[in-house]
Amino acid sequence: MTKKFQIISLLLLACLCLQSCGKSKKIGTGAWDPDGQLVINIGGEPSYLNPILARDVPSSEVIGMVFNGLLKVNSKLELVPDLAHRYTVSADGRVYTFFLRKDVKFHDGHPFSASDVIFTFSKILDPRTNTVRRSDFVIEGKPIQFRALDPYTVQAVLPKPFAPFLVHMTTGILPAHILFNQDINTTRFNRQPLGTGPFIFDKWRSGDYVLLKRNPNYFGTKPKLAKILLRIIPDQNTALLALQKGEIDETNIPAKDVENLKKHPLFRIYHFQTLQYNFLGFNLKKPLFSDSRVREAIAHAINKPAIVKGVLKGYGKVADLPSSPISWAYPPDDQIKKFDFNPAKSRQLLKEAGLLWNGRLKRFEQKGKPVEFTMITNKGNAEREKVAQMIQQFLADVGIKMNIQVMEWSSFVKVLNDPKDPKAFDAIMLAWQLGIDPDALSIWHTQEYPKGFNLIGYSNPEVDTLLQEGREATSNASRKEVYASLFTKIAADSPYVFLYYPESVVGINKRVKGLSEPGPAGMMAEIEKVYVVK
Amino acid sequence: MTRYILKRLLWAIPLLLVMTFLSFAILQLAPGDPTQMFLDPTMSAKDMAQMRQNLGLDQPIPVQYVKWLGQMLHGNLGYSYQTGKPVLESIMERMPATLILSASSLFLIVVLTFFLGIFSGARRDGFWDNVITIFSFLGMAVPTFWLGLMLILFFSVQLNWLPTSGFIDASVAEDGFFPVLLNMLSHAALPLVTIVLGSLAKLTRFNRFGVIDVLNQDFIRAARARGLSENRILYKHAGKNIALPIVTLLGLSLPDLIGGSFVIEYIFAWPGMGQLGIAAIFSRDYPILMGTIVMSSLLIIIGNLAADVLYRYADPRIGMDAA
Repeated sequence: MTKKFQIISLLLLACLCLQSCGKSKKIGTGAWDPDGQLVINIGGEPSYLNPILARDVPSSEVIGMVFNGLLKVNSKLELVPDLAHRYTVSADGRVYTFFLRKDVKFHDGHPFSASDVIFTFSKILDPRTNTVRRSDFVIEGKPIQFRALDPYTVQAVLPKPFAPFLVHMTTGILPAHILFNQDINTTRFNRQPLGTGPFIFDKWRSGDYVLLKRNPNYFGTKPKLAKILLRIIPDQNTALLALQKGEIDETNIPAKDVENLKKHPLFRIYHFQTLQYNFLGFNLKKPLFSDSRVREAIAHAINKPAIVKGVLKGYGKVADLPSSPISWAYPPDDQIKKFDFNPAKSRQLLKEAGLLWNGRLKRFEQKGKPVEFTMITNKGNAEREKVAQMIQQFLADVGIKMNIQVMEWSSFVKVLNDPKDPKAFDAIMLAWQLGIDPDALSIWHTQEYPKGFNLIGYSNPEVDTLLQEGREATSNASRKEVYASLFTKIAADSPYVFLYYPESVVGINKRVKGLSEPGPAGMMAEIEKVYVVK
Repeated sequence: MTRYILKRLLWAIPLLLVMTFLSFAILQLAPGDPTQMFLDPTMSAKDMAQMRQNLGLDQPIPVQYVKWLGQMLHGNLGYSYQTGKPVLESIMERMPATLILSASSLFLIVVLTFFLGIFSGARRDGFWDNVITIFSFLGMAVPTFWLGLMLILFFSVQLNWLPTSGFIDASVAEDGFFPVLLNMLSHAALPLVTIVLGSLAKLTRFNRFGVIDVLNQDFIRAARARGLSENRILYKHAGKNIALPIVTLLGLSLPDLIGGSFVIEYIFAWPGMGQLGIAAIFSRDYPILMGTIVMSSLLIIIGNLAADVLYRYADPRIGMDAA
């Protein structure tokens, strides 16, 4: 009996090992594999595979491969035609006319037409739809009107000029013939999507993977990959081990691990700028921070290059203003007011602001008390917590005490969203993810405080005017000028200490080819061109 | 016996109601709601307010509870706020993965700790007892996440024997029962070993003390005097006596069976209830949370009832009223 049991156990173990052996260490050396499957980690369970409902990154990654918008963003962050082969804009910037492709079919073979476009945007505007995209299509309380001029021409009439509108035309188009009589919030379509994109949805095993297969009838460049398996591996360490084993072809790599993995034979490491900036924001309604000299002093006290080197291991850049150096709207370098690391100047500014230096205790004081404030940030971001500790030390060196309060996300958001004036924090540490359009009205306009995302109570009438002008200007040249002026003005006011622009670091298996140039759109922005070799 | 079981089941109804009410109330104490979990400047306050209204979150909490209760009594646990998916479907999708891992690990833990406990207890302070004790303390001291990652590193990356993570390979998902079973077992091996090694230590110590205690009792001395073999004494007489705490443990472990282990599921990307529950907590997905609570509560009640009934079989001296 015991012997039998031992033999059965050994056989089972051997079978299990055979199951896995030989499935890994994919090192490509040959030609394009037409049956090739790309395996990438999306890190989390998607919520809705529906372009008008999704708001999380994993969902967006899948949606980008299954659906098309009227326009799309290419690897250079430019808006280029997709389902619309061209568009025109009226002289007053209010009427956009999109001319649709006639050779597009949904994955079930049904032809795509203007009625699908009208359906998609009417669903977004329908208050019963649980979407957060509605405000993208409402300008000063008035909705954008969409109408079909013929089966392949759609017109959008805006209540007033609104330059960021075109970016929203990248929204994936839904099939009206399937969804016309369904509850968009709960329909099974949200888990079994059907679009016009280069890949067809095949299967979603909840918490495990999403599987897509090639769309042989795709109207654009025919996809080279036969399948894409989007694995859901939430733990970054496990994902890294899976990359090293060759089980997955792509995942993010934390900066701290890059050095150890640089020479791995199986994959290459790429790094590129992202559209994100990290900042330390001051509550401008607090007396201490209402004086710009105190804010400037803090900016001069922080050694940003040391943060980039120490925490980001060099995978990032020092930030100076609320835009990204890779954005077309980034102003010329010589126009930017920079706050270089200069502790002596910092102390000088604090003295000018009326704070008293206590030489015995080596600290600044105000009304006999030490100058002190509390900075809040969210839990779960180890990088940010390390940066906070470095800033605490830099400020202690010039004589300011900064306390750090790390909060659970929902409590943190509650403090920030609380619509009371003044808000209940001294300073915050956070990052903003920028869109490809430079519009930043929701973050900097006076009217966005205290209800809105102007979290710190910033107000500058000149900036308010420029924010509006930026939205209404119709040519890119004039917008570039407006935003250059806007961003430099905000930087000069120093409402935030703009800390750094982090880079994205990814490891990609060497068998994966056809990648785009490293950039914020990712290296698989043109997924139909990506392939794997045998 | 039937009357006793029916009585206990009837008592479960008010108990379940109280539990759901308290859980619903406690959930509302946490800051934020599902519409406020994203800090996205592109979302307007108006959109968020509209969404709150659509989801019924603008209504008073007692009204929300009564509505939820009414739905539940009709067998409808509602729809997830995060995915729009029916709650029951979300839970049922995750349940098999959790049950496979939990049930098999529980079985292995019970069997292994039973034998290791007896083996160790019978050799009190001997060489093997000390070895098992040292490994038990090591097992208790090593964090699960570290152990899990080390196992992946060794068995998956270095030896290339087992997959690093996941539940099943997409390529075999349609290949028939046995290929699917083998593939799934190869994925389950490392999480299973991690759970078993982590729990083995504590329970082996627990059983060891039970055995030492039993071996000092008169009936064991009497058995030895009657000339019974040491194995018979250990595995039949002493074994039966330490079975009682194991039954208790089984009863109490039922909620864990469906609750899943978040750490294990997170490390091994195992698509179980643990991950679903934690994601629901962070996103304030009340329908999923309430659905999970109802299922767990039901299992706790059934588990405790089953344990009480099993007690009767394990120790006939225990009457049903006392149980």
